Amino acid sequence: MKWFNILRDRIRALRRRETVINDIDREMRLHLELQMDANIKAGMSPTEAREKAMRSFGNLNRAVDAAYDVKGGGIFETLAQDIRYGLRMLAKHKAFTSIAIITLALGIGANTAIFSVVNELLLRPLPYRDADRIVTVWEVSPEGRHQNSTSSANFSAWQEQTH
Amino acid sequence: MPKNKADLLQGTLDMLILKSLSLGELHGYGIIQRIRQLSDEMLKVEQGSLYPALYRIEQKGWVSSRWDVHETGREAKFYKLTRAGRKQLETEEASWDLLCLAIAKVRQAT
Repeated sequence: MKWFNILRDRIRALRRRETVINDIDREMRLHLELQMDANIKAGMSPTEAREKAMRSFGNLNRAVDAAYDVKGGGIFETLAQDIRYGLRMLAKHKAFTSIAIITLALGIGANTAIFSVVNELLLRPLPYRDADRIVTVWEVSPEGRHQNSTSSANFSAWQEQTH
Repeated sequence: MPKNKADLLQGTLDMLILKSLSLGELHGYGIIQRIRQLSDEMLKVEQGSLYPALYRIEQKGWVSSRWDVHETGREAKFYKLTRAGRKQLETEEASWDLLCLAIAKVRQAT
């Protein structure tokens, strides 16, 4: 289930980045306040208590960032940023975009057309048993004409001799 | 078996967090305090490392969280051990005991 939870968190962070950061911020701020309360209880002045609590936290922004990196950020956010940037650039350079699209369309179209022909003619085996043993028979008439139609008597004779 | 020092530390922190939650629901500040108390003030978990670890543990499904009103009237996020978390704690404690035993054996060799 781990990957599912990570994916869910990352997608949530992508769509509601502010909410996620806000949650983390809220959580850490409460932590800070409780630490401050404890410091005041221990006899410190409010200013001193606040400073000490902040110090024990280190850099608050960095702590929030480190926590956010678990919930969001990382490769997902970078990828989403890159895609958005790419789309913006394409929209900005219309001539380049149309040439690229036309080139791709023609290229893919031509390839598909040629492949369908090659596939039908060369790649796909003939739909008969022992397709590699099928032959075309020609006969040569006394006048030297090549032809591949023949009389039924000849056909029967050939059939007999090949079995 | 941990691969390096960072792994060992992270794994240990996970175990400490799970252990502190095994005694009941807590918020982040409470986890640090409980680990501090239970260790006789010897272990001080940094806030900066607690929350990333806590979120990672939550993603693994070992704890669940919810927002609730804290005794001071402020909103706090409370964490609770799940069934899977309890099981994980048992596994980690067992492998920790084994590691301690193994090290003790090596150290006792003459």
